[in-house]
Amino acid sequence: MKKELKMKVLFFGILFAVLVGILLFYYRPGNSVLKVGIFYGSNWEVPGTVHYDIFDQAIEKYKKEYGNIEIEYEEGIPSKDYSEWLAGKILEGDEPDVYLVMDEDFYSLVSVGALKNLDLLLSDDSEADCNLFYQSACQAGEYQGKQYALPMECNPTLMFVNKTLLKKEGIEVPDHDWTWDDFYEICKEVTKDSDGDGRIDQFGYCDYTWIQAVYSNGIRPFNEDGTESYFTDERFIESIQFVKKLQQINDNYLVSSNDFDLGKVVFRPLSFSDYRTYMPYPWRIKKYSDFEWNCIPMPSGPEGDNISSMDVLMAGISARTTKTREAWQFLKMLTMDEEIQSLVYADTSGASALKAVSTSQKTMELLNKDTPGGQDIDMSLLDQTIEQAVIPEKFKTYHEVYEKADNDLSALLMSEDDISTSMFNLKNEIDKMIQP
Amino acid sequence: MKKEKNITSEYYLKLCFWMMGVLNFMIVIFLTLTIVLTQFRIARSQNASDFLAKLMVIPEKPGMRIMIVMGCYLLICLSIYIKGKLSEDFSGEQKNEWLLFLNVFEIILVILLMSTIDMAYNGIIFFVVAEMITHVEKYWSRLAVLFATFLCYLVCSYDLVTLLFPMNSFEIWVSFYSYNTERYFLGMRTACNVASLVLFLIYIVILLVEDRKENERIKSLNDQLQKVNQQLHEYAEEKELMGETRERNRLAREIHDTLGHILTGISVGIDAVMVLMDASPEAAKQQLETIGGIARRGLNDVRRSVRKLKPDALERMSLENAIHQMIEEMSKGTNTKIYFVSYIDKLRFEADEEETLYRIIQESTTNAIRHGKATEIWIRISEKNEELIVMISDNGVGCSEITEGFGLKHMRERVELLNGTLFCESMCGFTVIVKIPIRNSERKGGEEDD
Repeated sequence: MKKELKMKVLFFGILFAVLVGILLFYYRPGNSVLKVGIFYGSNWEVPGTVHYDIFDQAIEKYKKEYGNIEIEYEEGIPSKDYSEWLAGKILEGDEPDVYLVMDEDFYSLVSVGALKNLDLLLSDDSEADCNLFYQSACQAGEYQGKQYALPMECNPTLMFVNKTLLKKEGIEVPDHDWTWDDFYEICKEVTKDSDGDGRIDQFGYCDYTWIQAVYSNGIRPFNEDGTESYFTDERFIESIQFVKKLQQINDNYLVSSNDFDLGKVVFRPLSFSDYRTYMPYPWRIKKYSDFEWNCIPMPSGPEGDNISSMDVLMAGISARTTKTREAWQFLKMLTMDEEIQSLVYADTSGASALKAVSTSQKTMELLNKDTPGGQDIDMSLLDQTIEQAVIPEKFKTYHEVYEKADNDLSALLMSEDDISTSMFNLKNEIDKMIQP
Repeated sequence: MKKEKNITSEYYLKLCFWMMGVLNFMIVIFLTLTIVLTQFRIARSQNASDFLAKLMVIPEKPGMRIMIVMGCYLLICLSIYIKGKLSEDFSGEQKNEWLLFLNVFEIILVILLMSTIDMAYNGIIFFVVAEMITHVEKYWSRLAVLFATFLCYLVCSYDLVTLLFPMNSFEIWVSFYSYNTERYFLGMRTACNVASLVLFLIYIVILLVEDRKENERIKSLNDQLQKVNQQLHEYAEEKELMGETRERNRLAREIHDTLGHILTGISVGIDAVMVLMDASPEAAKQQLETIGGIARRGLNDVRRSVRKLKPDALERMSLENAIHQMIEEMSKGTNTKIYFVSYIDKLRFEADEEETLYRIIQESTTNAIRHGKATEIWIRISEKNEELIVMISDNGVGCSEITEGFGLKHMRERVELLNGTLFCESMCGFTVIVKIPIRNSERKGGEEDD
């Protein structure tokens, strides 16, 4: 009687063991290929960036330090297709162990749980420390107080200045702590009809939008969790009013970026990657070649500072990786190793988020190589801009809500409506959209 | 006729269960493949990142999903199979323990399976419960299990579960397709759910109907049993009466055989003496001596007969009951308190041993009452070193010097026949201690026959 049952239990046990075995095989830890997800080209929409070299060197260095583990990446994924490629891989369950995270994908990857929480790894590793990074850059990989990705490279926004035009008007290039008033005064002074055909053809600025004014006036459009908007805050309204005032100088003429390229505009906010791409040879010939230019921080509002927003390219670990230790070591190598990070300046158009790299003499020399004399970038400018930069909020409806706000505010700035009242209405509409 | 009906309903029950098993397997595979293939299609489409943003949690790896679902289903079936075999191999508590263990195991598997197919289908609960409920015997417990099942079914719907655990839904997966395809998939899923529910209800109805039939059958059997029982009672009474008559007959025969014989002898002898008295007083004297001998022998015969009749109690009932009855009668008749204690589970011995024990107790208590004028008597039976020890003590007057009379001698003879020993002592009353070796092997053999 009992013998029979024993047989059954044995059968049962064997079956269970087989299943566990299959599971263990599927998730086997010894599997020695670490997959990495990267793309080619820049995600900052500038030409001439190739990430492969950084990764090849990182892989080589990693192998030297940690022994023989195979690290693979798929070549030939352009940056614009990268989000699709990554999402597809996640759906197929074949995502890389370590992969680059674009800031626009960060929220959806984190909310779905595709990125590993790095807090434990960071606290367990004595060599790793978030304080090595600029705090703002590190914050980009943070969600609800937890670190999910580390900054690989960052791209702060700077104000480009047409030095030739300013010289012509006899105006000095503003200091790094210039204000809205300085900005307004210069714009007002240079906006004129220079050839006397009755149409304004020389402008103070282009592409300076409400969001840049808002950031530099010490306020943000939403709170961090995306549950509240600050559209009726005095500082916010002040910013909108400032942009409106600026816009009135141009007499409602819409200044395009083409006008700036032709040398007819003094100020234009552009990213650091634009500076890096178009300042040195060979791309210099392609754009902005008719005038001398340089960059300075954004003007500060009465309540704020010379602050602008910053894009960050991050790298994270897949939540489902079976090789956490190796993945973490490689991620550390990519983001925290000074030698590898200095390649960010050599090979890409972004800036390193590592303080030690971004403030080093070597980096400055590298940046100022190939640039025409007298147009050296000021290292303290880069350091200060990155340090103070604002990272846009991360929540589910951010893009949708931002677009709506941008449309409505643009319309408001063109109209004659009272700003304060309109802002109340807009806040109501926006709050309805973001409240869960 | 009845039996045939029962077989068909059992057949339908089995058929229904098999259908449930196959249907559930098909549904689970259908839904799993739908999700997995959708996963691949989305990955190859140009909407992967938008779709990923719609998801609540990272989707299970396709291969893993199929493996978990198949594995869980296989293990559930295995568990059900083992449970079926269990009732053949085990009974009682051990079986219940196994059942409980396997049930919990199945529930865990079902939860794992349902969460792996993103709560797209919860009819699998019915399949498992249908099987579980056949192992529950009480009607009310069955209803309770059914109620709990429907509660589970409601709670396990996607909408409620996602309140606590974020999860992707089947709707999200099929929202990838065009409106018509989406409707098709959702409709298929609803049909699956309904089919599973209907099968489950049919199963339960068959089960309950069969249960009622079974109950009725048990009731009728019970009635029959009661009737037979009554007949048995009547028969027993009759038997008792018959026994009484037989006893009376035996008594009559005994009296006739002994007393009749003796009295006849005596009366014939006396007649002869009367004739001889005058002719030869010597011969008459001799004759009278003969008659005296007959009378004495007769007395012995009577004694023997009475003794033969007396252990009736022992014949009729067990030793323990016989002793109890004797004690009861004795204490009633004489106003003596008799305490009897036995440290042996079952007072079951060979017939001669039982007889000896009974006699010893009877004789000792009689002696204690008659000679010792005792008011309290203690009887103790115990077992030590494979020896049966009987101790009878009283609080009577005892005696300064023990002179072995007929009774005591008789007792000693009986005990010695069984290779036992008998001690007497007179201190604060009278105590008799008897030790008899137990015939072990026989006793054991006797026990196993019980």
